[in-house]
Amino acid sequence: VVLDLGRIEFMDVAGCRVLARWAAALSARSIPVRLHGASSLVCRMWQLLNLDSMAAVTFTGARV
Amino acid sequence: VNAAVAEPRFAHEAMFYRGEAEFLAGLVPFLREGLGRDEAVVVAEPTHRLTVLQEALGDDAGAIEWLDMAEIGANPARIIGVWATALARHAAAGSTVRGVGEPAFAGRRGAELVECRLHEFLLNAAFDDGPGWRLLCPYDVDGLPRAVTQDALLTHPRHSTGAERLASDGYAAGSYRNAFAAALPAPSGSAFRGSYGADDVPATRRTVAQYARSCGLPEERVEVLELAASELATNSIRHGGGSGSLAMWLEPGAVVVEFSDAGRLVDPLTGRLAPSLDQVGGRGLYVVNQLCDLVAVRSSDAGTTVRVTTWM
Repeated sequence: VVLDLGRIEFMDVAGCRVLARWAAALSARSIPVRLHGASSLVCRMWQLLNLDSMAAVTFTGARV
Repeated sequence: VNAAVAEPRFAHEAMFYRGEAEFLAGLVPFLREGLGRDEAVVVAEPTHRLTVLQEALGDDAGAIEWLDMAEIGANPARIIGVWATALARHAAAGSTVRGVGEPAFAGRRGAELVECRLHEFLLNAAFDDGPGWRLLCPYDVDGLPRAVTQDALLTHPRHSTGAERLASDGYAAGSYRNAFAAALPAPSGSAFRGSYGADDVPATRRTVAQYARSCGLPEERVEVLELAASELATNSIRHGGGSGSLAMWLEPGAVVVEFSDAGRLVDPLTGRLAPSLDQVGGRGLYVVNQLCDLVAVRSSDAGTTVRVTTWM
């Protein structure tokens, strides 16, 4: 599944966690998740909150 | 009682020094003693001091973990998390930790030194009840304002000057509570003020972003402040009585954004330690501490204030 975040204007910590839980549910069914066009701030939050250990997602086309 | 047992508690000690010779005379034997005992030795010093120490230690430098305090401690509210992570990692490997940390180094801005003082108080709250380890905090007597070195006697149960190790008479366990409850200094000039309620989080973050932009902050900093505004206003609404007030002003060389509410933050360590995955709350303030230049949190029965400073 690819989720395009390119047009998301703003996302907070709660938003990131909602995404991570959604990705975790898909991963549990062996469906890989790709987040496309996330802002660099979202990537940074993902790392700070250790969300990688909750759900394995790939980031592509991150906005700088 | 077995006298050979190492100090069982967190040993938090200030070391006053004048000049590089005293700095090295105090630290080099302390670090070598740790290496000799097979302890995990971790040093967090500002960049130029790291070089001086590494040169003095020669081959022994390779066995020490070096951290740049100017980086990890830019916002002093991040430092306790760094020590906690190091402690957990070394405890898992069966090692005792011996640390050197100089958060209040010469050349820091006044507002940073105020947060270093609270950080030094809170180290005791964070580690007094945990496993024993040693942390030596150098204070540059020649380079720091006198009030800063004097206050180290309040924040460290022990201190040393040259060869002497002494108990600090001014130290009282639990005094971090007063430091955490103390009010922050008032803005030096006029401030824009407003208030927010349950439906105002998006408007509040946009107002903050607009102000930050109008002050000339780069877009990356504007986005970070917008996120901080969203997290902190949300905290007021969830935990601070449902509403809060916003103040924004300029200090020389800095943009300041402050969120206040009527709630009381009981745990002064909130936002300083990396949140666990299943933890309830505390994440917003943690992220704000990690991303913003300087964050000051104070809380008492009168309410909670979070002041975010961004350097221009």
